[in-house]
Amino acid sequence: MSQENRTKLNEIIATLLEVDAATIDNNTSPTTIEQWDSLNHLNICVAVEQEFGIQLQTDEMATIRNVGDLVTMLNNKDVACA
Amino acid sequence: MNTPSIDLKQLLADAKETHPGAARAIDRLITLAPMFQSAARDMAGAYGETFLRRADDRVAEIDFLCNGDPEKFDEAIQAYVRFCLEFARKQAEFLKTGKYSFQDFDEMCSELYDDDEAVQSFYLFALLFSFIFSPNYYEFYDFFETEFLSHITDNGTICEVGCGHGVYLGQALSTHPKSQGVAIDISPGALEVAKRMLNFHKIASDRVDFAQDDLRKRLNRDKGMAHAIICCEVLEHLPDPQHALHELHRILRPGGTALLSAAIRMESVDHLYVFRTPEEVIEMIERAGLKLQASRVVPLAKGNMQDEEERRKLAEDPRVPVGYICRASK
Repeated sequence: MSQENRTKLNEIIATLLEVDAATIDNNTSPTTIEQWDSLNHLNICVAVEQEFGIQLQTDEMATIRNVGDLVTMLNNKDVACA
Repeated sequence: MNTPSIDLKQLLADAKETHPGAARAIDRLITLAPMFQSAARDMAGAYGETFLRRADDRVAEIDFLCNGDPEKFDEAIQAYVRFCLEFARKQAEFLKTGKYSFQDFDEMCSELYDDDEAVQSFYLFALLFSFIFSPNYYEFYDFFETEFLSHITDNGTICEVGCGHGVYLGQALSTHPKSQGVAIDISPGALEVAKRMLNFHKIASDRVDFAQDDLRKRLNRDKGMAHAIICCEVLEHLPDPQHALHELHRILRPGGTALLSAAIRMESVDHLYVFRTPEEVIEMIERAGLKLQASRVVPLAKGNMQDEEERRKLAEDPRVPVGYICRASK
């Protein structure tokens, strides 16, 4: 399940940022992908909410700086993600 | 915005010497919220040296309000980040429903304006950073500087209605040292911040009258008391902006000048009245008896904003939020 969720997460990000899912790891961030701007940041957060059935507060969204932070947040919300 | 590609690292290295305030704001923003790198890059690309100069000015004001505390400065940047994300989320909802989330002014008061902590630690700091990193606020300030300050005389009373942080009034009274000022806001917390802002601008306290008042009603001011009025980022917060414009017309003296703005199809944490087009705002202004002298539209969309035709076309797109600002006379 954990790996499956990670695959889903990578696909969400890859689709929204128009990059290859295989290139995404925990260090992927707005610094490594120029298209990751504030609007796409919100789009990623909203898509994650819908896919995993969770809610992210604006405060939480504001602290996400890379994919690793998203993974940590999912795990903290009981969504197992590798 | 489509702008020349800017190397942020290089920009920061160069600006550290020439524009330390701007460099600090950019550095802290992209460190705390890397997804705002493109916002910083776009603003620097679109507005160049002027962006850096104005960012220096705003950072000096913000730093003063933060008592020079770097932790508070970072909290203020985080307030801006949350504000922008909240805006984007609400704007997406608005595009689906055609309605703003708030339907009632009193509800907005109890959730925000009456809450001094929320006003002072979140709302006003977010707005101040918007003047640096958000093109609509940046261009509003540009219009204020280039199309308003230079068109008013220095011989009367400048009244800011809905002064918030007081940035506009502070600058207006600095530029016009013989004028008196009146700062009006519904929020006591905002008036406290505006007082400090005017201290920063070294405006003597006997030059300014601070007053809590409500633009939904009749203002406690005489007819024709102001030779210049600033009412920016206020109309969209009110249930009846037409009444507000009539009231502004009443307190403006004949021959006086007003700076007015409106958010069009643009949701925020506290917008109430949905303006659908710039023309709707202009009609209201004229119906109140004011004459339009100059105006600017600022679409929040990707495009070349130096191209007036492109700017106009984007402003007509019903899916694009637009900032509108104008100078009007009585």
